[in-house]
Amino acid sequence: MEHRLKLEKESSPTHSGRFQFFFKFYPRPWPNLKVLLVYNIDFSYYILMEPITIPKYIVPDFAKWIDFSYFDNVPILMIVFIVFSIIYFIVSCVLFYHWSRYGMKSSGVIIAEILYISVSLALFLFASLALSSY
Amino acid sequence: MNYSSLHLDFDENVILEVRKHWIVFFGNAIALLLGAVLPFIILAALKIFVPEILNNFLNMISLPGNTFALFTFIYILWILFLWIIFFVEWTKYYLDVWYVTEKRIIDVEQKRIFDREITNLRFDKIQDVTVDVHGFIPTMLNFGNIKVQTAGEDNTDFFMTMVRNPDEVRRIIFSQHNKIGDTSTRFAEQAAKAKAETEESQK
Repeated sequence: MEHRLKLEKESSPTHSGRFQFFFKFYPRPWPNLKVLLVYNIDFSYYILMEPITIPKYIVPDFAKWIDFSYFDNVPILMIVFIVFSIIYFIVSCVLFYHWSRYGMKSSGVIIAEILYISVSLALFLFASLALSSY
Repeated sequence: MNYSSLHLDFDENVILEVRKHWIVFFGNAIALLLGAVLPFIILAALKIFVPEILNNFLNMISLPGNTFALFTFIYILWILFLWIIFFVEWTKYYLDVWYVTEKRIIDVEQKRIFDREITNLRFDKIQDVTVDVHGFIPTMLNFGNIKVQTAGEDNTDFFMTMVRNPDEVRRIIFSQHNKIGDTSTRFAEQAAKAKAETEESQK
């Protein structure tokens, strides 16, 4: 039987004042079982068998991925908002140019203009309020 | 409606505007709608299937201040992004159109937002109009492909996919084509008659 042996770094005192060393075995045929050999200072030992839960996946360490301290910085959020607004304004100008130049002043284009402007203004207002209340 | 940008003749009017069926745009709209609720779907999926990751994430970002306001702000930016994409797609859909006038078909092809092509086809050049409605959904929703074939090898054919009500479009194009043909024949007859009268008077 193949075993994975691990020696615990810390030894812990028992109630009787003697030290114990822990050896953990993870037997392969029973992957959900942890076998703990507890050695006393006089080399007598006993066995503890404990069920273990092996995680199906590794929980990622998000802190290493994104530095969330940036979000704590309101001026940076303001810069993001301003840059986004500028890009939004440029694309909106392109759309309005197309609608006025090629839309032939049709009812569909007029409705689209009204809808676009009103919803955009409302969303920008909500975004500003959210940012100011952060 | 103001068709001044089409540079029509003084006696020319637009009879019909031919656009693609709304189902073309509907697919894009549904995709964008899914994009709008995507953050909530991801959040729900994380909560159900991998709660450890979500908890780890929430513990990690224990930010000072109003966290709800921060996430609302980010979500609104995402919605604004989708909103503008929606209208870019709608513009491409709406401005891709055929204008059928009394004299010609004007094909305005809006391929991309900065890619626009306008082609004219006079009715006397039209040889045939083919309609192809293929499948259950196109039959039920009444849309299909339409192809206007032109005379001569150097002329390119007009083709539009997923046109709404293609049979009606074909009927109108043919009726205009016939009117132009009748007018041409009548003009030719009148010209021949006038020529014969001139020759007789000269004799």
